[in-house]
Amino acid sequence: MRSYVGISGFAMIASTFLILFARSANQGHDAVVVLCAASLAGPVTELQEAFQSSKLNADGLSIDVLYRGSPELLALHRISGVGDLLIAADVHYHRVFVETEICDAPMPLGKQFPCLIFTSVSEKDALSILNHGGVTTSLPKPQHAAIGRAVAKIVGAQTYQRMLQNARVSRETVTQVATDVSNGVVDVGCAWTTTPRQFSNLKNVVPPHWDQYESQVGVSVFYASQKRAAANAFRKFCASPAGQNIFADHGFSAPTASAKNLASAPQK
Amino acid sequence: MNRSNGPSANSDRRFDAVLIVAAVVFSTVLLALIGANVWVAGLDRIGVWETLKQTEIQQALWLSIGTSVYSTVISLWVGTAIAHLISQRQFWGCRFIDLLMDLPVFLPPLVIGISLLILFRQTPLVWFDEWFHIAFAVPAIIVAQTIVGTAFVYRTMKATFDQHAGRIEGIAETLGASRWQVFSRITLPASKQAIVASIAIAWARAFGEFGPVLVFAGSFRGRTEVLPVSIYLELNSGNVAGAAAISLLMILIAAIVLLLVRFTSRDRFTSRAGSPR
Repeated sequence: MRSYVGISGFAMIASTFLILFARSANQGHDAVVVLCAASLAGPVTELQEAFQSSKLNADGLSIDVLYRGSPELLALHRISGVGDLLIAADVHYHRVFVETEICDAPMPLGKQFPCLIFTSVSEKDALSILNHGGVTTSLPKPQHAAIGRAVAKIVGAQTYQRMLQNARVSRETVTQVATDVSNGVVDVGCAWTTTPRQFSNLKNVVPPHWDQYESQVGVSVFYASQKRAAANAFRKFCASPAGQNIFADHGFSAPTASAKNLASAPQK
Repeated sequence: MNRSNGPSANSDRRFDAVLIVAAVVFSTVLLALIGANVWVAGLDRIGVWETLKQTEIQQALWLSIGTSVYSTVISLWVGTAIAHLISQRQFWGCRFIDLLMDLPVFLPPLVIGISLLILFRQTPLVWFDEWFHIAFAVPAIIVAQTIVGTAFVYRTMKATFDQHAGRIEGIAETLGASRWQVFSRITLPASKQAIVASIAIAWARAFGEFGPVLVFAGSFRGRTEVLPVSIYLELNSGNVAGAAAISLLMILIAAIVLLLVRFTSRDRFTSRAGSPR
């Protein structure tokens, strides 16, 4: 019996050291938690690193980011209250959050457009998915991903429903769709114009009129945040020239005036 | 009658052939799964190396090993204690507890994750979480792993205790040994094989736990990132080769632990306990 107790004690002490060794020294419960759309992982990871090492971060704040689909982030925040900041792929989700008095008005960071992505088929074949084409598709679900919602709005809900029924795969995030196309699981998928930056083999085409739908990426602070000052510091960094350059490097266009109006809404 | 020539011998050969085909086919499928990861990782060797070199992945490796060992130890003690109680004593509600202990095995992992999150963040227990910082932190990983691991330990240990019940232990008690003495000096030493099996199952489950960890602990890079979460994050950023490389790393670690368990159980526990090899 003593040997069991001894071995257990040793194992627990050793594993405690392993856990402590594994944890970053600069991260913990004081970190600002950002809930971020999965499709924005590229620029936001860079923003996180740039902010943590910038002079603007005089207090030595650390940033933790949770990447999921925007509706999932909303559910997660409602259940657990986790999160200080929200970065959503489409301002529509910010409106939902603002209307339900969960977060303040968003500060716009950039914009992107829906497009079709493909690797091996021609542009013409890719565009054929809009007319019952013979190519296989991976499409985002409108209730889970901002891109799905955007494309459904452009082509019409009924048409998109038909496209979803004919699709080989339907996914929860744009990155999952891009992974399917990049790996050759399907021929064509719907994504943002910025998505191919993450996948070296992806090509994209913007179908006619699709560029009329602008997806505004924005950042809001949750009302429930206990670290509002710190969250605002990171938000300001995101919207600063340094932050905007990072978004531009990832293919985002500068935000439009209409989105900037949202930012001027009164804050609680 | 000589079985090697009769009709029963033909039947035996057919029976053996079916078993061998099943074993070969399934082994081939398992090897193909590993091979698929090797193939994908091999297509982008630089990407694989870059992924494995990341500080976050190395942190995830140590965190995975640390939390899985921690939760295995807790699961072993808790599961063994409850298994012994339910196996040896009959009391009001013991069947209900027996049923309850099996629940985590049958529940979808996400149900455990969301239930833990609601319990710690939506009920009066939230003060406990505010005080001890469990949700979206390392303790959340250990709690999620322990819930499932304990159920597996319980099932394995109870089956063993049920076999022992009322034999040597009964004799020891009639000779004046206390229940504690019987448990620590007879029951536990006679259950070494089951303990090793429980450790292996609980650790394997904990090491590969994903759903509850993703929901209850989140997927914060470098903070609550265990290896299965790393695979999810790499896939989400489009790094398939990196995800395959982490999968191979997990397979390698699991294989090493499996070999260690086999080696330990054969050479030490089994021979000492006197069980057949």
